[in-house]
Amino acid sequence: MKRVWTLAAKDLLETRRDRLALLFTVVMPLAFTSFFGLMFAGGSDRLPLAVVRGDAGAPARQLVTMLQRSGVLKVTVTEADAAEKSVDDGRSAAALLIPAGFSAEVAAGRPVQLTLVSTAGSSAAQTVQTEVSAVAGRLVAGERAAQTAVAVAGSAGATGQGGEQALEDASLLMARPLAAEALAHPVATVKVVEAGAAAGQVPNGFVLSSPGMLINFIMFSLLTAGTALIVERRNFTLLRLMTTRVRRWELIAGKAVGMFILTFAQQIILIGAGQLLFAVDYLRDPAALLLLMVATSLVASTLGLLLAAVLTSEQAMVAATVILSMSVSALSGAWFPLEVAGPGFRFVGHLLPTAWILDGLRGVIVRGFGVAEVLPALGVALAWSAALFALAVWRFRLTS
Amino acid sequence: MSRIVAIAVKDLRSTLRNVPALVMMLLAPLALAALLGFAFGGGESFSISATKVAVANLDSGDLGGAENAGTEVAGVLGSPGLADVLEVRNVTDGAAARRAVDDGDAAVAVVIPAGFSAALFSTGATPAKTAVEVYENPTQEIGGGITESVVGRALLGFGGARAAAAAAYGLATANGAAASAGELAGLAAEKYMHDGGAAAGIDITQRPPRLPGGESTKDVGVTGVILAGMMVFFMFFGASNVARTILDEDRAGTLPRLFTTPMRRQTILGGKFTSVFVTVTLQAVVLLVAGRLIFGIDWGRLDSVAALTLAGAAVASGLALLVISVVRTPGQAGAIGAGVYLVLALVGGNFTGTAASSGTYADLQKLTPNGWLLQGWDAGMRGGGIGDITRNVLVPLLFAAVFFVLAALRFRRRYA
Repeated sequence: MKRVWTLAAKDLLETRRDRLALLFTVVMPLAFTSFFGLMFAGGSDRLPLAVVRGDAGAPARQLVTMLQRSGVLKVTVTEADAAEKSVDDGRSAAALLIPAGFSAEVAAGRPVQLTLVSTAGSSAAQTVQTEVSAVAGRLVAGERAAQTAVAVAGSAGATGQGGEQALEDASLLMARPLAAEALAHPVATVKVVEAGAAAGQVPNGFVLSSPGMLINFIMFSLLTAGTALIVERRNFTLLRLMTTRVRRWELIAGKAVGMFILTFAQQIILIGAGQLLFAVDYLRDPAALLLLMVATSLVASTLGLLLAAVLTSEQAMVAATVILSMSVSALSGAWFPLEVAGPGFRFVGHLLPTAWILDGLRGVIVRGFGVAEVLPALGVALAWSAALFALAVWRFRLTS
Repeated sequence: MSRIVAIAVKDLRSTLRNVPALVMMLLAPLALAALLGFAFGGGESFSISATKVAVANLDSGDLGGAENAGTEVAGVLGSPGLADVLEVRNVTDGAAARRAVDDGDAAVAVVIPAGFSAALFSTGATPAKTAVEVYENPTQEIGGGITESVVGRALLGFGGARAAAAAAYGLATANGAAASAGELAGLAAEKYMHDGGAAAGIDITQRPPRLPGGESTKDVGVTGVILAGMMVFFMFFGASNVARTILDEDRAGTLPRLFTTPMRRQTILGGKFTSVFVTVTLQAVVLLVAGRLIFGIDWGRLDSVAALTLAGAAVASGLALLVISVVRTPGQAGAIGAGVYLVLALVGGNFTGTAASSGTYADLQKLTPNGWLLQGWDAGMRGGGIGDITRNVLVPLLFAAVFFVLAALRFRRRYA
């Protein structure tokens, strides 16, 4: 066993001296986590919405006022061309076109049409549409309520002078603020409760990005570990080691242990940064977290060993690592939540241990998962690691 | 010129025999585009699967037993029109609904409380308040958001009815018909609900932005967006694979031996530069054709496709040569290059697409040549011509020119 540890220590020492390894194992994952977390923080920045008011009536003005009061939107009233351009350039999440005749339609109680200009698939535009729909809904609800009240009770007991239309107009003027007041203080509301959320926990974009980038870059760090093994094979270093008392199983184990320790240390750094710098509560259940870290390093080290055993050149290692890390990250939900993907994709993704590990990490952070809840992830990781290790040992060669 | 072409052809042939390089250049972007397209339904637009919702209706109706508003809310959630977005299961009580979320059997639980109807139909100056609980898995925000929105709309219907009642009551009272105000209020609420409330009156249609020239555009399919991002990203690697042969030949001694021939160094390096550009242009052409044949992607008009392809090839070549001019070994080239390309792809939006661009991120994308290219591809796929993507071609070409000049200066110093 001593030789195993010696070989592992040698590899770790080489990695520590390699500045490129530092770049990929620490610097880049922190940079990517920060970037994605800040970009998709969700809720901290109001979404820019360009509004084109093609109607000068009161309901159209009121709609714009209500949108401007929204805590979700940052509204700019502008001309049509400028609005289209702002969406095209990405300066606005969307542009809302209020057509001519909008106010007349609202006043007449007829269905109203609004057009939202946005890029297909934009999640920001989806949020804008939801908010616009809610605000427009309140506007229309208030107007409909006032018109209904006038239709039912507008002439009840009224003795004012002037014709029917004048009476109706006066009644509408009276009914609108009454309806608006009632809508502003609803009897029934929606109460949102987040399952497992710790008291005082504020959700932020890093909760999604940090575990995802952790998995993505653990995969990527295989590049440095695997490349070193390929170089040693090509330079006949491995063959020379066999002339010493080192046995083949000790050599393989030493390589695997080295990769395990490297990826485990990388996780400690990234999780520490997440906990201290990005307020991601990884330590909510330390025992569960430790199990997930072990699972991650087992999968990463056995996969790295297999890649290094099978591939014969650094170029092939770069290609395999880039493709694998991107594919596995996408399938596991590291880049986007799997809930936006189809059921087939989610099923395929959950054939991989990394999807289970990511679910476990996010569960620990936001839902307070304990050891019992992460055991399935550990089981899947162990099964995969055993299979990958067996393949790596079978394919391991001392020379190219 | 013929020597430059000869060197370029030699490098191109060498690349065609390099299996890892071909995998990176061709197979990887197509496979990733297929994978991500599969993730989002494989169709022309992004689509998400239905959110599993457990609904517990604890409402027993109003005091008279006639109305059950809770049943109406549950009915809205389970309506056929929402079957694509919500998969509803009714459960017996609130604890069972919440447990479904905790156990992972549902993403959201909706608990309609006992006394819901009674509160909704209550009268008086200070009516009782009630709340529908939406208990959601915080790691599944989208489903939770959709459910909140649907429940909110349903409650707005009741709110509108109460608003109609309040307004009718106020009108009747103001007009001296206080005796019948209560009855009129009830009639107003009934009429409001019967007429469909606010929900029947709003239609929001979505369309893509018009091109800078003002022409109407077509929607861009999701696979096209993804493959454009992957193509530009892997063009960096494609160029890097070819450019790295400069280092390989330098270490093997082939390059120094070439320098001893009557061929000028500029000719030799010019041949290398040309081979990088030609190879990565061919890579792009293959990917564009494959995208068209396999995924049915409409890349747009030929003039914009050609311009963006050549601009992208120039950027990829220039950047790859700059990276090679800075590093010393092929190992460094692979690792540093991969790091540079990943950062550029991240900032430029190759992984997120132009759909996610707005605000600060959109500004950051403009700091990268690939960000401009991706916006150009988006405009091209929406039907834009060369006039609509002028900046998206010129700015990357400017980046490419800077990369080439810096690389040339570095190589001149190294091989002086």
